[in-house]
Amino acid sequence: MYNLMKYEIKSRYKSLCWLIGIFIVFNVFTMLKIAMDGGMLESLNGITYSLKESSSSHVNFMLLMIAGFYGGLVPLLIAIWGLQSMAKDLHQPTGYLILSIPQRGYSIVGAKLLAALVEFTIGLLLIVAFVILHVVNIARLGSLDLYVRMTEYNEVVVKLSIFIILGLIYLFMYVMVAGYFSTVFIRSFFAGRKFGNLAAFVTFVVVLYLMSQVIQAVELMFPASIDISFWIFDKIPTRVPSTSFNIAGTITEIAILFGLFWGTGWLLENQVEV
Amino acid sequence: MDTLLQIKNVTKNYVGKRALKGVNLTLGYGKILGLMGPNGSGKTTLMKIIVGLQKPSSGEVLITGQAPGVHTKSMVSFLPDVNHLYSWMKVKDAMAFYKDFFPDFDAVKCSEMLLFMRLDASTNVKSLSKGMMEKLNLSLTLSRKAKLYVLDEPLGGVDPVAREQIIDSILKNYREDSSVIISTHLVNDIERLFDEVAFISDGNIILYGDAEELRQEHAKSIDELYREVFQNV
Repeated sequence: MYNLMKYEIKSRYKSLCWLIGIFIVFNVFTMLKIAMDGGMLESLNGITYSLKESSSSHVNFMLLMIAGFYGGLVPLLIAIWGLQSMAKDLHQPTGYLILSIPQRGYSIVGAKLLAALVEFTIGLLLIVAFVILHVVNIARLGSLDLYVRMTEYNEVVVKLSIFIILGLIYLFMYVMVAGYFSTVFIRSFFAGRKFGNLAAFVTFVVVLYLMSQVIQAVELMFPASIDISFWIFDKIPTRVPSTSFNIAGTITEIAILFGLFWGTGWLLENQVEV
Repeated sequence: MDTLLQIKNVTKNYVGKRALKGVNLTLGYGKILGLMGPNGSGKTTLMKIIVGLQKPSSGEVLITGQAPGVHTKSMVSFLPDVNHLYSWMKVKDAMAFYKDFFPDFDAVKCSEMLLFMRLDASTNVKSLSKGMMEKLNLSLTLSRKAKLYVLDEPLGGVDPVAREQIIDSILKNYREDSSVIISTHLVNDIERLFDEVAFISDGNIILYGDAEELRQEHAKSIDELYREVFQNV
């Protein structure tokens, strides 16, 4: 599986390097520009802050917007590339190669999933890192006082970042497994390519919908949940957002995820014809 | 004779088409079988079923007594009739891929074959001509120490010089503990290789036997026999 993963990453590392390289260069440029312009914020009364009334501040704000948009594009493209990799192998002659190697179906799916996860995690870590760097940069340049006040919440930021990163990785895995299953399921039973792509997308939507319905039903039946906000926001005395998991729902979700993963592997090994 | 490959009454149905209609075939070790027939006769379908890329609708295929699957893929070396390598690969990446996934792959032998075929390891796969691509794929396929080699149209679209190189490579690779199935409709170029021949038409094996016996029995070369059989097909 790890050998396959290696080739999977090798197949698109150049595109990924370009995608991430542009993201890094653009964000560093934006940070430097904001720093050279002396920041973006001005203090109104020592407590509240607003955007400086200058053209450079508005340009910097636009740059941050573009950086945010591009940052959203990075995980989206990684997901599309990952799903396309499976679709291509099922519809193009490379399928003869990948399906004639002595590997189990779940190894092939696992390799594709792990490769996409590695790429997604790299992209996500960079996005989170730049979000934090931008906030610190803007706050530090806005007011030393604001910066010092922010540093008091360093631990919360780290814990919240870990929580968000793990949550998004899980969500990404969820989408990818459902996507792989839909692609392989449709290829197993409908060979026509144009129709197949549309059918795979419809199956993907149906699978996600059914998963959410099943999980919702389980959550209603077993409402017990765990709240981990005390761990993340333990340093903040005021009201904090809820970060709770329904125990039964989460277990069901993971079980469905495993079921879809093994199902995809089984279909790939026993049903798919190229 | 020990049986390497046994095909029992195999049929294959596609939507609105029956590609194979009860094919029976037995192949021992140390043989080169020519699978011949016009386009659309079922050659590629049969080969894909042997390799495990497609499943028969009915009937049974056994390779050393086992149905095609993960295990048999480690003993069957397949050359498809199209380029199956990834376009991002260089020749050396393709070699590394085979080395990583097929324990029977002989990298030294492959390097020698590439040298013989005048292929540079640092060349991009997508920049190769059809003939060069065929040579690369054949080098990779034959560099495995497989029990069964399944070569789908290895001479298709290549020039006469390249054809000779490919035929030489197949001959050099001959081993008594393995067998080769070659599909082709360029019978004249390759018939000297065949120990056995099978003519396939419209999903049926219509003639099957020892190549030399068929030549003597009909007082014709396999190429002449092929033309006679398929004249009206």
